[in-house]
Amino acid sequence: MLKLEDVTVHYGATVAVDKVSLQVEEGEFVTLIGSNGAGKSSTLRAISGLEPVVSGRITFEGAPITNGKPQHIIERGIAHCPEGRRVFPHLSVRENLEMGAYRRKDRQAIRDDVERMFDRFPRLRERTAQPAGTLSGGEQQMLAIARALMSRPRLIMFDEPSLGLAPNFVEQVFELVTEIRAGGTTVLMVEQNAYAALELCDRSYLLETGNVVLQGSAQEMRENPDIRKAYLGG
Amino acid sequence: MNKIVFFVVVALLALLPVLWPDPYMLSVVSAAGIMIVAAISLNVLLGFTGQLSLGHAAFFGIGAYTSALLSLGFDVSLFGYLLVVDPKPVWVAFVSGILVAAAFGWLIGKLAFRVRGAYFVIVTICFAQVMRMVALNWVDLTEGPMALVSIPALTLWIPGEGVIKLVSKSATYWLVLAANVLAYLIVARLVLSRFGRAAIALRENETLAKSIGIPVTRYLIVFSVISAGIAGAAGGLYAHTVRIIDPEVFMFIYTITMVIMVIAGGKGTLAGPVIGGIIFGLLPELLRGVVAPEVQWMLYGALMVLLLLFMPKGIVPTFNGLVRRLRARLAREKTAAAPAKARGANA
Repeated sequence: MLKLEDVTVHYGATVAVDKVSLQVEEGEFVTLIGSNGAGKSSTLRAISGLEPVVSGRITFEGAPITNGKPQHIIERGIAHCPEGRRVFPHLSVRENLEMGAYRRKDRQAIRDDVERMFDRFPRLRERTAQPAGTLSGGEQQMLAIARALMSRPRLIMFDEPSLGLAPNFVEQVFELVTEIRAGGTTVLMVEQNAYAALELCDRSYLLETGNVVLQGSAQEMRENPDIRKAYLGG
Repeated sequence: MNKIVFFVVVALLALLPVLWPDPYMLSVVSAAGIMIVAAISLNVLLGFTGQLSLGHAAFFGIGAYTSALLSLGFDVSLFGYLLVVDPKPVWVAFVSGILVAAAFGWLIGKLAFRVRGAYFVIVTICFAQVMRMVALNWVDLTEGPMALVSIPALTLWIPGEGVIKLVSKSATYWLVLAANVLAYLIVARLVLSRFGRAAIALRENETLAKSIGIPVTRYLIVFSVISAGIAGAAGGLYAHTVRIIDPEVFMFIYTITMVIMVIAGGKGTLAGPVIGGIIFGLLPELLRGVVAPEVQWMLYGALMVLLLLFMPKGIVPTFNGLVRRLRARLAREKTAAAPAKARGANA
């Protein structure tokens, strides 16, 4: 479904992603693991058109999307849930959701989808008119995920969805990601928490300083001695 | 509710020349009103997209000069060709001023929005200085420091009266008021649209806005065009009411005045530039007989510091916050009082 061939991304003068090749099949749950600065986020940013690709090719469902504009890539069915500040703090919860459907034109269907999101996340319904900045960190992440779903993606990319959340919310977020995948949406997730990532996904790629150094099924990765030592704590 | 307040305020303001026909007061208020239109235009960029343009006087000046020159007519030799432009009807000139300013807004947006933050600010400052130099030195076209004089007033066709020139103090006042109402409504319409919400989204988090498919740079340029167009209208209004303009209109101090009005009133709110504009537009005149001009500038400085210290978001947001808190407290007291009353009834 998604294919990266020798993709290189520069971050200023340094090479953030160095000839990375990876593939995500329809319906799969793939994770990118690795330490800080390994190029995981840059890879996602290159896919969604936020970061220019210096060389290499990215194709989605057979069509080239290398260096496409973000608004065209989202229209093709790729949603990106970036890391860091996840919501628009001064827009209301409802407005945040509607922003997720910004490229869609089907107004009635958008309204229905907002309702569906509220059914799915009752906590958000209680806070419909509240500015998103007043939600807790966990609620903001729920909102961010709901917003990403509002574009009706076929592939959804999460960047460190558990970062900075309280443990019970981390679990909820991972449950939610699993649910989304079970609903038929393909998932590509960046996660520093290798342990959790390898528990959940089908396949995984390990990135180190911009290179794919290891890849395999979740089980293969979990059993790999190097990964056990470096990322799973023995 | 808000609409009713808006109409009442506008109606009261419209009655001012009838209730208090003091020509001095009317001309002071009109002058402030023109700066308020300019502040409204700056707020479109600074308040809603978060981009600080420190060259906004340039769009004001371009509007003023374009409108004045077209209504006066001019001839200028360009690369050996003599270009002669006959005087155009004053409204045609005025609208052209808006369009030319908007075109420059597009150009500057196209160039300057390749960069953000401090770089954008610097590009806009340079642009205003370049425009001032052009106005000062292209004497063939602009008369330079000798100024453009005898600029015709705007006209209005009134049934039964025919075409009249809007030269009286009250006519000027109404004209400026109308321009303010129009600018306010245009910006309100813009902000409440899809476009406006996208602008707020990109102000709050540009990366996130991009990731959900908002073409950020294109939107910034659209806002730049609208902002410059409204600033150009303010400039045209200035040219046809003061009826004399010189390169001073490009001065940095005018931009600073607009910025102060927007920040003091509350950037990113519709009423902010109007409230800030009324205060900082009228203050110089109110203080004129009281203290020397040098002291006045110090007083503004002090006022500005105090405002930023106690109302960092500006007057309007602070006031709104107070109202919200007051309402919340009233609601709490009501719910606290209700059970007590119920008990009283039972006893």
